Parts: sequence; structure tokens; C-alpha cells
Amino acid sequence: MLNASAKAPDFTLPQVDGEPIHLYDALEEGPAILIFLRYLG
Amino acid sequence: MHCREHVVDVHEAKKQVAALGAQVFIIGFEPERRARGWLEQSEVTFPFLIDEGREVYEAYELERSVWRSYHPRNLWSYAKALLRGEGLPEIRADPTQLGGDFVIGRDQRLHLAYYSRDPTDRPAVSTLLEVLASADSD
Repeated sequence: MLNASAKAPDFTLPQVDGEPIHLYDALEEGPAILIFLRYLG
Repeated sequence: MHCREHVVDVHEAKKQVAALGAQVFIIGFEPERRARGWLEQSEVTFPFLIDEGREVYEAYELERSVWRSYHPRNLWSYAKALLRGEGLPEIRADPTQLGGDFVIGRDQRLHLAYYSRDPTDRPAVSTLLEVLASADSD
């Protein structure tokens, strides 16, 4: 498990429209919340 | 509280999130078509990112547990949903996965790493907002 204060793993993932999001680029706009789902229930 | 309810609760606080200059990303593992349907049903406008290979899930060291996924508290929540006349969720992904919430500051550091103990366990929206506010002021 990652601890608070650890460096967040960077990533690039596609959105539903295919447009990619790069985490570290997004953080230049402000802090972020990532919510990991389990499944689409 | 299950994933959808949690996301909807956070979405209801979107003005407060925006006032903190923050953004919310939902990360799921199922194909684009199902993700799009889920967003429409949920009326959530946050960006939905697709991690079909679960590389990001693994990088954030999220967990899997059969016992915790079928924890009595989770089974009870499904029973209550049935009593309300709601259906059970259609599971097409890995049902042993556990979720989590992370708050990341502009400094690229984790300010909150919340690993769900079971499928009903999520941080309070007020906690997320407090951590966001402190992350932005550090």
C-alpha cells in the first residue's frame, strides 16, 4: 500500500471519448481526487 | 456505500471541489461502451478514465480480497437493495477487487491514500474536501 506523502505514480489513461489524460499534466491545473471503482455496478 | 453512491455523493460536492481548484477522475476497468452507459445513468460529469489492463490499479497497489469483497456488511447492503426492490449489480469485472480514493497535490504527492476495507467503505466527502484544501495550501 502506498502511504500519504509518497510520490503519486504517474499515468496516462484514455477517457471514454478516447482523449488521454496525463496525471502530472492535470496536476499543473490543481490537486486531484482519483476514485478507483470496483466495477460498474 | 457502494462505488456509484460514493461517486454521486462526491459529484454533489462538485462546486466545492471546483472552488478548491481541484478535479476528480473516476477510474474504471470495463470497456468504453459500458463506462459511457454508467456515466449516463449516474448523471456524473467527472472525467472517466479507462484502465482496462489494470496497470494503474496495480501501480496504486489496490487490493483484492475474496473475504473482504463478500464481507457480511457488503452482503447486508445487497440484501437491503433487494428489499428496496432494486436489482443486484451486474458484475462483469473482477468481483474481488477493492476500490480506493487518493488525493494528489500539485506537488505530485499523495495527501490521502484511502484503501477500502470492504466494498461499502469509502472516505467521507467532507474528508476528501478537507484534504484537498490542505493539499492546495501546502
